[in-house]
Amino acid sequence: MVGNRLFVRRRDGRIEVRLNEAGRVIAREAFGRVVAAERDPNHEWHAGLNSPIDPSEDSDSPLASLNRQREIATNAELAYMTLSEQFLNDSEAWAWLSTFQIALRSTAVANGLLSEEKLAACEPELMNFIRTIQQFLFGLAECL
Amino acid sequence: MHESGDTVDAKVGNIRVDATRGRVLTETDSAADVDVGARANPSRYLSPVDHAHRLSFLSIPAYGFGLSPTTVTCDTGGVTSVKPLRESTTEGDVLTEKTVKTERPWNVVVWDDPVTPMSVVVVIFKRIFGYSNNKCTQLMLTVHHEGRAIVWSGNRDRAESYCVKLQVAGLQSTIEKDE
Repeated sequence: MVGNRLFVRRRDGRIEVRLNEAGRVIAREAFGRVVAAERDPNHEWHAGLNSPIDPSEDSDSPLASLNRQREIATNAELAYMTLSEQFLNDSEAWAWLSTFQIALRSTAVANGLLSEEKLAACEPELMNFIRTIQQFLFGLAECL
Repeated sequence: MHESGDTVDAKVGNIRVDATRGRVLTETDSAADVDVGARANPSRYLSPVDHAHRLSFLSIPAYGFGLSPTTVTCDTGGVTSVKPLRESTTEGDVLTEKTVKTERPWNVVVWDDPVTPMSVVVVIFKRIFGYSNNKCTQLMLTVHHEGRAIVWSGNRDRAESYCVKLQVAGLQSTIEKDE
């Protein structure tokens, strides 16, 4: 079973990344797009990163929004910087999981995939990207 | 009981009773002190009425005075109210009323989406809230089946903070005031 896993928790506590080069390319693309979307208001993923906190208010607390923006950017940059690492510690693995999850949900929001029916009807290339990110998330969730 | 000649007939606790003079002496007073003290400051000695009241308050039977064991009673001489030695404050504490303002709590709501894996939701709940595995799984299933779940309730600042943490982890969450 261990041989099929993408991420493995070692006895010393570190998490081994067993992605091949193709997997790391996909991860690099996902992490890079999150970093870009956080900085670029016109990015297609930007709206997905700035969903309302309190929908009953016209605008959210600036402090809360700033805090969210800073933490998302920190996680995404940490994940991007550790892309070529073979072993991750807990904080780095959490940054990977958070950034993969943000990439997954931003993809769904940007493409209007807000129901099971729409997800099933999406383009194969997009579906392939979504399934790949989900596999990364399954693997990380088992280790954390 | 401690007896010393004709002057002290009874002793209860730290009180000595001078039967011939009808006065109560403290334990530290010597015979000389009593005479000198009585002339210098008569008020430092308890009157027989006060003494009787103290003894009845302590519910201790007094012996002596050539009488059989009996309980000393208080003759107030027509005075109907005697100030107690110790006033209780219990009644005042009980009757104190305080007004407590309660506000409706704020809920942190997590919404369902079709792409997020279930196991990821459980891991995120455990990491952010520290809930048990069973509770996280239960909340995740509520989100999955009902479309949303209230994962935390409390004051607004903490609700907002938890909501931001969930959004940073990639879940769709909002806050709302409890109905």
